[in-house]
Amino acid sequence: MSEPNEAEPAPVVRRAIELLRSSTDLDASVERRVLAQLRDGPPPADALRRRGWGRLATITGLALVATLAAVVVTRLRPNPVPPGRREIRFTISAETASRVTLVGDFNDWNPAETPLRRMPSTGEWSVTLPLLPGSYRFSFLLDGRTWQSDPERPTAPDPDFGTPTSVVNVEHSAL
Amino acid sequence: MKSFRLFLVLSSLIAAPLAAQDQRLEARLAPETAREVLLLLDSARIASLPTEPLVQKALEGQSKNAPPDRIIGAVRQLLGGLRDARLALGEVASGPELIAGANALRAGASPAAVSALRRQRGREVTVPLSVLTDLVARGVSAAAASHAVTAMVGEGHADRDFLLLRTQVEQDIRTGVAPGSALDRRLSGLPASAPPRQP
Amino acid sequence: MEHNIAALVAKAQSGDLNAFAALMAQFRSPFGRYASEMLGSREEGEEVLQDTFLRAYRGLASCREPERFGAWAFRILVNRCRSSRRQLLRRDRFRVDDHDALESLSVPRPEEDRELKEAIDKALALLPSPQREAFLLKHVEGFSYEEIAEVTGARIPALKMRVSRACEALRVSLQGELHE
Repeated sequence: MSEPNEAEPAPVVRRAIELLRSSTDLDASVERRVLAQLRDGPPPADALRRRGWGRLATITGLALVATLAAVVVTRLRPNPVPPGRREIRFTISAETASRVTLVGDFNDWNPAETPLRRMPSTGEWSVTLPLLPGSYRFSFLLDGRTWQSDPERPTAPDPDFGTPTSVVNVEHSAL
Repeated sequence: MKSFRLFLVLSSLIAAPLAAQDQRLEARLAPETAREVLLLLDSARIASLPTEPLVQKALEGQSKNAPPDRIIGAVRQLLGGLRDARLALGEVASGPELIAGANALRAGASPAAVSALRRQRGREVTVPLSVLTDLVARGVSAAAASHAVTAMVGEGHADRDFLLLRTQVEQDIRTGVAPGSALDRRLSGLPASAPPRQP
Repeated sequence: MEHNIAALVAKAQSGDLNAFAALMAQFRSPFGRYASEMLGSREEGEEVLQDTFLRAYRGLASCREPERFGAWAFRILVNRCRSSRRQLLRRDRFRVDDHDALESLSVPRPEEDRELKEAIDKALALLPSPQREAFLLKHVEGFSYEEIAEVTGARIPALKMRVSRACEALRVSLQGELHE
């Protein structure tokens, strides 16, 4: 990788770099040897101090979690939204499509994982996903071959692959 | 020996989230492409840069049947953007902030402007940077979006004000208002950052 | 996913060896590759890597920014490579045709690549160690000059000069070796 204004290495050197990058993959024996030595020795200097507080925090934390879990269980509703997530609706008008899927950062760009459902009355396709706060790139895939962006959401600034891509921003709390 | 086996099981459980990135790439990309992308991930990790956006970029390319060199080039470009964001935002910048910074730089914000935002606010600028990027994506010029966000940071506006601005500008654009005009109109209507003093 | 490193470091700082094992697994490949190529031997690379991980664990309390553990530990690795006494003997290894030493760096690959790899290792051995270090960090590990400066303590203009000279020296050596 050369910087701007820096000359590219000569072809034979570039080939050397390729080979060096693929060389020597050490196995996990290094880690085993290190751990064997560490087990026999003292922990890091402040570990003992932290362990004392750590145990107290763990006990307190577990008790709190158990209490909260009991509260949550009694108030369960069908298909609750996991904590910290917000339900985000994705909709597209695609009257001639027979299959539409949602593909993006939230499902590892798996073209088959998130199918949309067609609304018979409107001809629109939609799906709702519970997403953690963050910024996600995505596209709709029509009939497994045509990529389409979301007209309701911003276009991604980097169309690296020549296909339309949108961005959805999920905030921590609703406005 | 028993404790060693237990260690192997436990360490695999802890390492799973970290190894999961490698498995996703190895399962979906051609071996040579996966190797190149994994090398880029190594570089990112050592530099304490976020790696998940790089993984997603590679998976996006695979999903869209992009050729290997285009996938590697896109991941490399994103890594470069994250590095540039680190330089602009400084060592204290968080992962989400770096991602927002890289997106803002890609959208046309200058490194100096991104740097100034951080310096001026003195704390996370993830939301201002995201809003800047989205305004540009909606058709506002990079200069106008940058200027607007910088002014708002200077005036001490909270994250919710930036989010409100974005929502309002998007609504106006949908009704047919030109992007630049929508931004100007909404900027002038923003609440003051601090309540007026009582007499 | 990025926060895992900071979380693992925090656990390791409290004495959690499993957390430290996960950190080592994370960084083993890039660290091992650098150490092996810097020292000219996989065996010695493993030894320095082991030493680095031990020092990193014992000095974890001084890792003040857990999220930057990678860069902090890499600095230890670079210093360990520099002070490894085998570093001094590396040049000698290639004065005679030491096939055992070359074998220790090899992985199964086509004949043509094996020959080139041997030539590369010889050429790297002939570089002054600051040039070899800068070249490996820049072009094999893919660091920016700012990152290399942080890890090595050298100034960026000096690093650029070292990389440039290393590339030129390698080009001359490799073209000579391979009669290109």
